[in-house]
Amino acid sequence: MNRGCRRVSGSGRGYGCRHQLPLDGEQPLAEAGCGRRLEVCRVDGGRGVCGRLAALGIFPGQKVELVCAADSSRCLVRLNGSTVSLGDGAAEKILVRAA
Amino acid sequence: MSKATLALTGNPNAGKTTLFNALTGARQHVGNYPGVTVERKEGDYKKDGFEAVIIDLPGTYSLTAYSEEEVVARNFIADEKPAVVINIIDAANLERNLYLTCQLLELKIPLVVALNMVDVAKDRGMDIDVEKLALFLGVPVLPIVARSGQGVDDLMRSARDMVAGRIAPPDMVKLKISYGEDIDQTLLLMTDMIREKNLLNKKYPSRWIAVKIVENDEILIKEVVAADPDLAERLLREAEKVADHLLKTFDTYPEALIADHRYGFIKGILKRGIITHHYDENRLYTSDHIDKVLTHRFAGPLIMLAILFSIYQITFSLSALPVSGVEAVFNWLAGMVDSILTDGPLKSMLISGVINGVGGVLGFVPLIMLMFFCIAILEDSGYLARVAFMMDRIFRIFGLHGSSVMAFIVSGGIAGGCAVPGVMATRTLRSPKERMATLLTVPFMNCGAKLPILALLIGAFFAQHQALYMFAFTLLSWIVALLAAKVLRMTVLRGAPTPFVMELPPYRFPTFKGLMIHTWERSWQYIKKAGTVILLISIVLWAMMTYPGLSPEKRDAFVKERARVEVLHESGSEALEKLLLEIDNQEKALTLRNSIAGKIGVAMEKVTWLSGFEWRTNIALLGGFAAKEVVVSTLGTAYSMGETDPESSTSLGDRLARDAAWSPLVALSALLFMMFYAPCFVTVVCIAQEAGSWNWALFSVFYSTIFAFILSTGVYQIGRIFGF
Repeated sequence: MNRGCRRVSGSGRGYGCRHQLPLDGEQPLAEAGCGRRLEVCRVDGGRGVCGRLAALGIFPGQKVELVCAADSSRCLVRLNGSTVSLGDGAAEKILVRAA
Repeated sequence: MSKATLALTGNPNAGKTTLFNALTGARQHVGNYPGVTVERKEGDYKKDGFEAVIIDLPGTYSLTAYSEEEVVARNFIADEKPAVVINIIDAANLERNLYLTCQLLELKIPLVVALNMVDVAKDRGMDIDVEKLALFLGVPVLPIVARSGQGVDDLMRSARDMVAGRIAPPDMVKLKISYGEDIDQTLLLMTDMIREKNLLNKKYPSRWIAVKIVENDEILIKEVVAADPDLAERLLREAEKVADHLLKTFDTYPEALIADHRYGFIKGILKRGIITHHYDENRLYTSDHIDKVLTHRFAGPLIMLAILFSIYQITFSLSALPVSGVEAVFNWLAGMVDSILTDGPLKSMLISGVINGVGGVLGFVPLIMLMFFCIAILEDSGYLARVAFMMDRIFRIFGLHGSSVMAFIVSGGIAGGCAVPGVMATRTLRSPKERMATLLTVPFMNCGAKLPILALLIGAFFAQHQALYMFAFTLLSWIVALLAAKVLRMTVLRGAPTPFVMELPPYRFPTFKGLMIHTWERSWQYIKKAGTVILLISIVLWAMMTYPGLSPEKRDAFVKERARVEVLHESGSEALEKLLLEIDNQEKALTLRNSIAGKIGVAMEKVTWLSGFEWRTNIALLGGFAAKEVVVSTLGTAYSMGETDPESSTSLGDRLARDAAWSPLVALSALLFMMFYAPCFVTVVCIAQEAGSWNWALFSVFYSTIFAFILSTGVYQIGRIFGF
């Protein structure tokens, strides 16, 4: 199974994913364009936040689609056939790259 | 056969409540789980000789303790061991829904899967091989359409077979989900340790405990520590070891890896020919197209304002007639009692205490039902989730949640609402701290009952700029409520904001039956619980304002006075009526001053002079605790003015304006106090009910009263320094 991106160089909180891939094009979900297929690379934040997001299906390696960013920092994403809305805090913590 | 207990579980929006309604109809009881704000719904099922109690567990995405709902659902399943757990999953959304199913399977409980909305899935071009899915999961899977009731009988037959032991519980040998080599090895080790000591073995399977410890589930870890501290320490050490290892090698937390493997397991199953897609599986559905408009960055908020405003209009305009109808019924009842009984304490208590008190409460019922009906439409159609999404940005600044907006608007965000339905509207909030902050601040809004007070005092003292003052006070209520929320969230309700992550359910047409059930169950709770407590309190308040009454000599003095004027004037003349009324009012005012409430009012002057209130104002404020409408009528009695109709309060206004104890500054101070002091007791009872404890209700009374007092005293004293 192909799951995702490279390891994040150690600094700061959060966690990344397992496979070593080039760093190119990684950006916060909030800044990715509308209607694009994306892949989650990394989720920043404590264990609670990461666990909660993971239970909803947002974890490194997951493919998501940004339906539309309501404004600069809030997002609606489609994944596994459902629509999930993410507020300011959450959308900034999720780093993605083009899938 | 004795009644079996069946529990319904599933993701939010999977159709759990629809199935629950279909199974139990109107035979439902709603309550709260002890100590938490999660609703507990129970209902009876009876068909073909099979009787069962059905529990609608809160909707959850997982069984890890990330929210109150998850803890409640998990504890119910583990502690009460329902005979069968029915896991309802959305067929159009299998991957995400099966995530919970995986965890239920790991709990090794008797499970039946209800595959809901197979019709929607078919419309979206998905074919699901139900038999194959059942084979892979190892439990019965029944396709249903909960909205129409299709397949529900088969589902219940399957549940019945499982209760009777004709179907075996899930076979876990076949179903061990692998979490990767590192975690699996640790789990093996931990499972052995747990099994050896029989740790919590009546409640959970050993491997499940191990998985939750590795997932860092704080609630379960606490449970384990309490059961066996020594073993807990060894288990936690193992969990920490694997977590460290994963962070070093993969730079990831175990829970993300576990989630990843669960989804991998699900994808693995689904890929084996269970779903066939006829269309592109990633195309945008109608719902997404609607969302492009309704959550648009400019159009979205405008549409939202229009919808919220119209709900407000509908609720208050359509309820006006039934509300006055209920009032008329109680007036008629009061008239009946008045004509049947002779004057005396019993009659006075029945009319002033019971009928006026309970009538005042039941008068809200049509309003509450309409409001719940409108909210049910918004909720069941999926729009409320979008409102929360859009408002979250502003409310977050004040430590609240996007879903708080509904409660604020209903409570009087646009002057004239009511805090009672507002408090109840907080049920749509999921995170406990944000919900509590909303509960405690919505009573600051200018409800309809505060409007006559505003009208009276503004009319009497600030007549030149009435509209401006009205608008300013509405604005002020918003500012105070939001700032109070911010302060509460920084002090007693401190805690990091819950990141706003919420599934937006696809738009659906609400079913009429669903709307009716939702409206009725919430309204009935209000009628029943508030009704009983309120009856008691209104009798107490009546007694306080009536007893101990006048001394016989004083009463004799009034009798003599009446006799004196009756001699002086022609019987039936207008002048006589007027004089008699005047005497009645003087007697009432004197009785009030002599009553317990009156004595308290006088005693309170020792403190309230600081904000410029004299004893008569104090009594009115005390009465306002019963219902804010009472403030104006009590002021009327206390200032001995005769029947004061709140609508035509000009005469009382004139009287106040001329009274030596009042001035524009006192009026301003009184206005501020009345806007922000303790909510009326109907609201307080509702807060207690919603918060699940009387402590929060009492807190609400005290903190708002203290705040109001400090505010009005500050304004009064500063005003005096500047010579107003």
